[in-house]
Amino acid sequence: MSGAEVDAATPAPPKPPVAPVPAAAPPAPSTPSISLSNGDLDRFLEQLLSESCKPLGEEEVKGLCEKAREILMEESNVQAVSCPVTVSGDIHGQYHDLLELFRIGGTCPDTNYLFMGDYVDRGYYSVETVTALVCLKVRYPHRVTILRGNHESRQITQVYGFYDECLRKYGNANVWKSFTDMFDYLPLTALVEISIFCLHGGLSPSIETLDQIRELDRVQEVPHEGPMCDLLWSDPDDRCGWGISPRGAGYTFGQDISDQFNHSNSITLIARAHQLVMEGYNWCHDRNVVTIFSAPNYCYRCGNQAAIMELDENKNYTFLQFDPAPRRGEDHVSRRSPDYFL
Amino acid sequence: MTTAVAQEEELDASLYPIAVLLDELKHEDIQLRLNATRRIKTIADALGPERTRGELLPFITETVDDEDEVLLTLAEELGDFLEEVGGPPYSAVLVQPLETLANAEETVVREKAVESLCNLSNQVQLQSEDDARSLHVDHLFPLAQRLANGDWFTSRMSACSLFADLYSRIPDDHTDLRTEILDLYKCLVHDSTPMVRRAAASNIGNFATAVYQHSPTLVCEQLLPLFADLVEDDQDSVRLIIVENAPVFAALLNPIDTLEVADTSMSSESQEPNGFASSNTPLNCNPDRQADSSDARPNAAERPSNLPSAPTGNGPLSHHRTATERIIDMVRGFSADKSWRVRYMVATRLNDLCDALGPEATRTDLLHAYMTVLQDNEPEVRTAAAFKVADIVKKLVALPPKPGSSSGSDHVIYDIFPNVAQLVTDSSQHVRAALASNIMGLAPVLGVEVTVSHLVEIVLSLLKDEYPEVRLNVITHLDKVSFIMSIEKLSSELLPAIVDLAEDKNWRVRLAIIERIPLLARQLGKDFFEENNKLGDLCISWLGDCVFSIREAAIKNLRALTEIFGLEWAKKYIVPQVTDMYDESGNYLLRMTALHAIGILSEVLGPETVEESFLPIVTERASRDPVPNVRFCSAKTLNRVIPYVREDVRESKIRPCLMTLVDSSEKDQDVNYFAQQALLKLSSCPT
Repeated sequence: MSGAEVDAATPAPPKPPVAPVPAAAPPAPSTPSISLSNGDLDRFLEQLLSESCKPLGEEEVKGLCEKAREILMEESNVQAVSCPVTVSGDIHGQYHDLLELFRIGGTCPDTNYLFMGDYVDRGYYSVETVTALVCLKVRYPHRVTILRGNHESRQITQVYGFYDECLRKYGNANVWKSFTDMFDYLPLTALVEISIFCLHGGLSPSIETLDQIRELDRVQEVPHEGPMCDLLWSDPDDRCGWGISPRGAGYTFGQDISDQFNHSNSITLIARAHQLVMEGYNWCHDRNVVTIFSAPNYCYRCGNQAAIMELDENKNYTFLQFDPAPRRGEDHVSRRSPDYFL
Repeated sequence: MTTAVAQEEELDASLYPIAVLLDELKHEDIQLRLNATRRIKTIADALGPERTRGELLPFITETVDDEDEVLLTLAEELGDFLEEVGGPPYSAVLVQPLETLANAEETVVREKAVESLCNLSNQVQLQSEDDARSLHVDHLFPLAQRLANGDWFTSRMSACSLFADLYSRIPDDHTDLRTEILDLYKCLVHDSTPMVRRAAASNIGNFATAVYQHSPTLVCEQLLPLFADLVEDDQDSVRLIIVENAPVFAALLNPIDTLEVADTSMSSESQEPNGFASSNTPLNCNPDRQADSSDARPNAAERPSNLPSAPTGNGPLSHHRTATERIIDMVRGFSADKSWRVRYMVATRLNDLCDALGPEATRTDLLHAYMTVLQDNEPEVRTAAAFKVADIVKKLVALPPKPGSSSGSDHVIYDIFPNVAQLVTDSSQHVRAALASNIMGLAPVLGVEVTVSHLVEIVLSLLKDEYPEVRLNVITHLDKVSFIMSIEKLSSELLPAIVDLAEDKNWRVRLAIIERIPLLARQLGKDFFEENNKLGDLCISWLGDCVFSIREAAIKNLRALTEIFGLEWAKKYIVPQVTDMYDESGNYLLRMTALHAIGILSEVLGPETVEESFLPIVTERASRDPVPNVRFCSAKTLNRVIPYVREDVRESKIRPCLMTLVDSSEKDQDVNYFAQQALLKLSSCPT
């Protein structure tokens, strides 16, 4: 791990605060397709993608998640994506910075997007963030790809904010349940033009080929160990070979591992997120691996830049860095002493 | 009480809901207590005034709730409860419950209780003079006494907020009570608890206003010394509040001085040396002036001794100083206070003080105080001062001319500008950002000549600041400077800086520049744009910016320029560049930008140009692009273009193109969707 990198996610809690929740029961086969017209979705998007974002109602979220599940269950564990596409890393509920990301990279559907997980937790607007992204996915399934991050999980969201935020904003856990049930269907990885492998965390010692990933049964809560857990939790490291991850889940993998994986799967690059990098993106393993992190000033205090990776139709990449969106009302105050100090 | 109601219940079933509410007033669930408290008016209406006084009020007050939220609600409800207890003759029954609340530990409860007491006093005063007399003399005055002499500081704080209204409503035949209120206030000003002194300080403005209505001289004789004592308080939080109240207080004293010593200031002012304007600190010349004042009041004798910048340090103490002058001295002392928060407050309130103290004080002492805060050691103070530059300069420029003194504009040039120029290189970015956002406001006030000779240099330095927010603040207010400058000045002085910023690494700075271009274009004219390639080139190169929002803004800008410079100009300088951009780009985002530009520019270019130069790109190339995004953007562009081309072209070019995009050979559903939308538009568009 290079010096510039800091752990983005705290180690996985060894003991979950609640008993593991079983994965959502598969949808009843007779469930008719949810009717959400393009008009409904356009209206949702207009409501969601503005500075004065108003979250959807509980029932609307429920319908949206069911529709998203229908779309996602058709996708592969290694979802094929074509160029051009703009690749983005962790967002973590920093909704205003997601809007900034669209101001930099362009709006959907004109720009195609691939998001590599961790939409919720940490930031104060996880509900708005994940609702907007899922809504975009449902409205433009071929323009937007959303992968699963280690925070798209029932257990993690109960510790790092999404669960509490849902309770606070809706008064009950129904919305949280709708989203986390839908998270089980998110694809684990994506393959851009059969050469750029995108995923949230990193490689797994139990996986040598992409076909092995394709065979995984992904529709479940993120397990505590095993290949599916590793893909969402692992990090690249400066040391060769496999190492024990300080996070308590997944592994660290060295340059030899990514060399071998890329070679045997004929891919040129692993693009992943999961770690805070100060410049927003960071190459490692002799440019076999790149980390992309898209939450500027992570947790509103890390002082990092964010980045996205634009891949044009010829697979040429450009990294765009950006800073946090200016927050209203803070622009001309330096340091006024609050009354309670008086 | 509960049992009394229980008996009633049998007699009158309609009282049952009231009984429930009454029970809930003491329920163990706080939410129920709160709801019931919010509805005590309903209960009172049902019980009638007599039982409200005799049963409900004692019931409420017999056990004081321990939840602040309930107490707060109760304090609020009792403030508008006069009718419920039977009107003004019974107003006194509300005093005792509110007194209990005014003694509460929680600040918001206390404040609300005092507010409600004032409401009560107000309502009774309006409705019945006799009842008001008895309420104020027999009930509220003793209440104020009890509060002011309370053991616990909380009640003494409540007393401070009560004095002003009480004082103004004590009838004229009870001047002894007024004197006593004044004495109580005096005690609280010197209270040992800083919280109480703060409460006294924050009420000095409205208390002085109340006293002033009965006797203006009392303000000078009695309150000014108290004000002076608070000014010297050892707690900066007290001094801070005094600065905040100084404008109100000073505004009361100013007319008194004018009344009593109408000609004094004139004679004293005339003694000021004439070298005033050329000095940066022209105000150390005042000791003679105070000695000359003929106003003599017993209590005005003492003057604050620890004011570092007070001008009398080298002159004899004078007994002949007006109240206003004493306030001015205090303000100058504050501007050098050892606590930055006090100085910060001076910087923020100075403008109000100028209004309160009048032009003479502004010209001399307040200007000096302002320059002191501009040079303060703390960035926060300088920031607050920098935010006030335009306000203070407006005050200076508006000064009436006076023989023997510099004009207001001279003060700006010789006193303000040298100090402001130093802020340009201030070590704190916040100071510079504040200055940048404020200083443009000077241009319209000062006029062209002074702007060019003094302001432009400062603006140019700020435009080169290393901190983006400073640059941004300048640019967003640039219109104020640019529109009063000549083209020559604008192009030679400001334009190079603007061109530099057009490639700023911060995209919001670039955006701000783009948004100012139409304004500049109007001022500079077409010829200038044609001769000066740099600016025109920039306008085109923004189309290829890596940031989406800049590309969008660039399109809007080109549309605006077309409207300003006309069709011919656009055909030569915009249309070919946009089509080239489509041709040359290997990046789908830029091809889509060109398409979007075509859509927007079509609105202003006229059908011939659109059909000839733009349409072929959309229908023949973009609609067959290998990237689906470009294909559906071609449909979106056609959708936009439809109203701006002739009908035969719509049918001959646009419809066939759209048909290929909804054809089964087109597999992308987004392309199908947007082409379908455009076809709908084609059918519905009026011919």
